[in-house]
Amino acid sequence: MASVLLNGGLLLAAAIQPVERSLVIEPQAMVVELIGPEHGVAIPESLKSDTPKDQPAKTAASAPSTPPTPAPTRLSPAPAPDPIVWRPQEVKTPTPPTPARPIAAESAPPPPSAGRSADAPPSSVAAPPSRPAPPAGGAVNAPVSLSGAQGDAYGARVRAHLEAHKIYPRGAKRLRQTGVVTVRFVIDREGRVISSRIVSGSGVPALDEEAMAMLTRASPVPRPPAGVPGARIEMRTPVEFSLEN
Amino acid sequence: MTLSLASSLNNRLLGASALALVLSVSSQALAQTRPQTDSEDDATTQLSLGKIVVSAGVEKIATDTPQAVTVLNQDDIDDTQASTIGDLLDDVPGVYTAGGASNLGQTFNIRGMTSNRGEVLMLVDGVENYFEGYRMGAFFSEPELYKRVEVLRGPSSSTLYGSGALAGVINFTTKDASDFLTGDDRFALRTRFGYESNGDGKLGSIIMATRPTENVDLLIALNGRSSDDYKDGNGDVVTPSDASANSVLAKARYYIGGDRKHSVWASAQVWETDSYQLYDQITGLTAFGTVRRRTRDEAFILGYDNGFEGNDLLDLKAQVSFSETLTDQDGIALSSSLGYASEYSYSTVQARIENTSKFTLSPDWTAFVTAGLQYYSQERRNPRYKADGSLLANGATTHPEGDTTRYGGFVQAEILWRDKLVITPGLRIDHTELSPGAGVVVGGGSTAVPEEATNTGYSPKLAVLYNLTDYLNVFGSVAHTERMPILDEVYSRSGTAPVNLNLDPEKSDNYELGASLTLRGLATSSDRLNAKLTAFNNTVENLITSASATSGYFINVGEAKYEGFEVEAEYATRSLFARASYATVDATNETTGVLLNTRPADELNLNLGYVLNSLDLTVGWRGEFVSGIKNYNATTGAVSSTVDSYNVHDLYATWRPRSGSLAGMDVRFSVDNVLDDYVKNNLASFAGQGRSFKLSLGKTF
Repeated sequence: MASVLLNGGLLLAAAIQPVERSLVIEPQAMVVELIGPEHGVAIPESLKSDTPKDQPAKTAASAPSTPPTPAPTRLSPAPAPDPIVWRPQEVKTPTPPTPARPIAAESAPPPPSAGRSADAPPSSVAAPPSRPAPPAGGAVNAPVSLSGAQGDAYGARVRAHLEAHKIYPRGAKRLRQTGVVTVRFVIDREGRVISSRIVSGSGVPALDEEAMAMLTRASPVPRPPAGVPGARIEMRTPVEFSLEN
Repeated sequence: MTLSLASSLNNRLLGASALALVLSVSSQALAQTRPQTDSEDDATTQLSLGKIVVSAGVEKIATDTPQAVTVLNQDDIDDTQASTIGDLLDDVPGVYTAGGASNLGQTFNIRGMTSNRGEVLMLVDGVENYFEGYRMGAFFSEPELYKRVEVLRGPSSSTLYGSGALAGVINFTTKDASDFLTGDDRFALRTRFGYESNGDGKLGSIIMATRPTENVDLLIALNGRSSDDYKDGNGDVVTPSDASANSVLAKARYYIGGDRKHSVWASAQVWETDSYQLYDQITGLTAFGTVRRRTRDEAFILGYDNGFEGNDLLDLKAQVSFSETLTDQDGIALSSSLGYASEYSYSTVQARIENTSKFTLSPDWTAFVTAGLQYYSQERRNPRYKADGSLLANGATTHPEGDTTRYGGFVQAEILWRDKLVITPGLRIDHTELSPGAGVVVGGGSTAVPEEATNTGYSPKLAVLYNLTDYLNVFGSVAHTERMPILDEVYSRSGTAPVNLNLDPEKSDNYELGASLTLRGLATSSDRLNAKLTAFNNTVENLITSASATSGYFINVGEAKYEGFEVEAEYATRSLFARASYATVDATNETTGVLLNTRPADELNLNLGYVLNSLDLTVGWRGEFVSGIKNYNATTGAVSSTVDSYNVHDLYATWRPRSGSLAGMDVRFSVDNVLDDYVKNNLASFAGQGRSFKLSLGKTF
């Protein structure tokens, strides 16, 4: 009985204690990455371009004040023409191509199996040299460094918002089609999804389409809080369609 | 000795989870001393959200299947804070806990049929769990062991899982290491502690999952649970109603060649209780006195899965298992017949192999065909001993020892046309051989040894689902199955009635019709409304009953009809959810016209919750509304008793921080039966639990 009480007390302590203080995330929990050229994945042409054409138009109409390009900032003296790709200062240094699979999620997905072959670079394509992982605890080279707590908490909210809009396409479910689609999208300060694209497809058109449709349905996502800087916020997430649970 | 072992395991478990918590607290303290680094100057900030998993099983209501099925996932299981399997299944429409209140006394009733002789098929990781529970329940297990429970109502699941599931199938899936290991984690630890005020219930649970190399997953789960008898709404202690038990699950899986769909796996599961308790756990009769009873349920499985990547024709699953349910008791009051000490053992060897092939017949037509073979062999022993340790008897006239061997084969297809039509035909054939054990005689005056009894049962079915529109489906099914007689039914005898080797299987013809509705984006971009209506009509012929006939102790007589419907509905937005289910069943003895007392009262379950997304908090209310019902005398048809209607109200709150150092923690608090009402279900021997405060704290590291 004593151990039971001890247990309860400790868990309660664990539950209550941190609430009194500010939440802090371990730096490596916040993943910052460079987006390099993408390749090696067959993506339907219709999905290759950034979000449906009407999307930016709608966005612009509803928020005419939104600047089309990000405002220059201290950390990026050379404004990047494409807001999706952040170009680091050391642009001249040859940057090894980023693997098709996002670094952040590299840890997350299970090892590739042939059934999900599309989400791994096909063996016929020369595997890109792997980019050195950013040093844990805040990369020197990584230009974007967020407060872990802010970024992570916001990321979790966006994720939850996306999760509320996910659907397993009926036809794909019946045909037992599975796969991982990695999508990348950019939102503005209002949380509107202003562009999106597939980083790596699943090999199943219905699943690729659904991952993009989810972003359309989910827009606008929760607005970024002040602690998450930037006129544009780019996010990427692997969306796994799984029949396992 | 075993008693102290059990309690020491319990203490060690609780102690170990305390240790894990100390570690967690200190690691959080460490994290907090780390400096923050802020930088707020980026035009484009990049965030990785982590993986979003779109799981097919995410819908609470299976709108896209012609089967009446309810699936409880890990969250649902955790939410119930169940101490018994009966608690776990409490809100599943059409499913009721019957018999006793303790974990050793509960049996299950689906759509008006109580599982006494295999009407409800219980499967754990594909292993059939069946035994005759004399004065005990139908299934002994621990809710914490499972990540998923699938309840398939109606006999149409017999085709895939086993003939004779006249009422339905309850399919339990144990936790896996991969449920806890995310990304390239090598090790994960989960602890859960639970407390319940009514009955002083305590739970300590530790799960260790590890992936020492990329190809190997290991899991060990230890659960210790202790409780006393609870009090009902009148404040009276209900005996027996405790749920003390310890359980262990160990699992290993090796992925062959790095292919996640090609693996060999092994698991061991042991559930055990050991205490002084009433002999009669089902109705609590005191005439049988109190015994020291040790009950152990264990299963060992070796499995092989191969998805044959790239080959549509092969997707193989095979497993062999040994399982045993053992009850060992001494100090029995009625020692002249039951023995001073006795042992009931059910040792079972099972094998199952099945393959699913995909055939793409045309761009519009696809078929999945699953075919399999099954083997089942159970040895049932019941030695009874005198106080001096000498053998009194093997079994008894109505509890015969014996062996059951069954061979089965099945094939089921799922034929798809576009995403509009699903046609599911299936056929199963089972052949059963029963052989009498020690001490079995013909009876009715003869002391000869009876012969074997054999039966063959057929379980064909056809189910169809059609999408009338994007949001409306209609479905229907026709299924036939046969429940073959068990040892008790064939070899029970008396001085006047002999064994009955010619008993026919009980035969069920079941018809179902239904419709389901799926609507999205009604009021908000992410809201959804799902609803499903299923109506059924199940006629069972050749009912096997023990009548006062001289032709056989058990004979086939008459037929029964079970009809009713179930409605499930769910509406959810991001912050609000509402669920409702309603089930009603009528069960009639077609020969006498008298309603059967195994039919449940009508039941409405409501669940209304609000999610405070910014706080990661969910609060809600659950209500259970059960109608009054009358019991009838089976021969005269006169009302024999009336059971009152009742309502139960629960309030609950769940806090699950999604981010920060507390991510991975879950806190669940509920007040069950808030109004402390006296509630008694017509199928239950005892009143339900009065008001109870429940708290559980879990943390995954």
